[in-house]
Amino acid sequence: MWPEHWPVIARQITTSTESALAAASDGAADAFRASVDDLAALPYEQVGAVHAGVARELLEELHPDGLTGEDVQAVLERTVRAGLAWYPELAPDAVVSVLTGTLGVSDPDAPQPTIAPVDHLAAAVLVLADLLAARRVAARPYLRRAVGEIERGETMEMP
Amino acid sequence: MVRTNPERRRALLDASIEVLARDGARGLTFRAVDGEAAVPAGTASNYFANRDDLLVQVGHRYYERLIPDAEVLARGRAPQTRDSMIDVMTEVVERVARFRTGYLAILELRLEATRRPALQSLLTDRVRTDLDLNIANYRASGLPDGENTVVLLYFALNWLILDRLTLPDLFDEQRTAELVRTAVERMIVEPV
Repeated sequence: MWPEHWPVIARQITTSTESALAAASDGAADAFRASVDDLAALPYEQVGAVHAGVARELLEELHPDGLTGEDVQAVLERTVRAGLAWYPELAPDAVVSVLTGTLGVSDPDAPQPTIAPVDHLAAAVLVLADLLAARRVAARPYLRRAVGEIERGETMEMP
Repeated sequence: MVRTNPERRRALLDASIEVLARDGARGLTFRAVDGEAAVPAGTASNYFANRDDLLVQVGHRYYERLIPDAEVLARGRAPQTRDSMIDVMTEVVERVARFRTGYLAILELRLEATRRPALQSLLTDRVRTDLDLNIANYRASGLPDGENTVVLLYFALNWLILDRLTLPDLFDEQRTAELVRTAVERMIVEPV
């Protein structure tokens, strides 16, 4: 279970993210959609902050000597290819947006594609699924640390 | 610690059964469970580590709710004749069919289990335990044959319940009762 002292929203984010990741791992599209629906009902920026925290930590661990453009391209290709095999509504633009957002390399002046929150959340979970599989680790400790980081930064509302 | 409140946990699982029966596995979100149970948003995620945990516990809850009272249990374990076995089987079919949303929810779980190994394992264990118990009771009943009779009755009566609940116009209650009787009479052949 998640730490007792966590705010309800933090627990909802981690519970639904872990659920969506398990569904992604099984290629269970309806279970994945249900969990992404749960995530979409939560504060979008807080969900995004947790996902970005997990993705950043995993990318750092996977590429301790620095991340190249080819590395990012490889994540993009793997995520899209594996995701489309069982989740046909996956938007490749959303995967690009997740990766550039996580790395902080999106160009604020460039025209931004319109991506529905639910598509962005689904893409983010699939990126996490790819990175977790590449690192061969479970999501839970990463989710705990990501929420812990945010807690420390006091950017998450306490109940 | 609110999440150890067993009554609340049961209420959330019962709500999950209703959501599964009504909206299918696709509709089983934590938000929908909170809504169905009329509890504050976020409550279900206090009780279940993730959606798989919720699904597994829904499976347990379904079987828990089907456990009959002590008198019915005792009747099932007593020595039987073929006629008394018709009464026992009729009671089982009525009890399972009466919990309509539970049966529909477990069908959704069965489909979900084809994609979720942990759930498949749980359901396999539960059904096997249930069958083993029934086989043991049957062997103690004094009636002829054993495992095959119980398994064949399980197959026949389960599909009868499935038809009653999903295609209710196919066989009415009276016809269902006749079919239960016929199934028992054909499968339990008493020595002459």
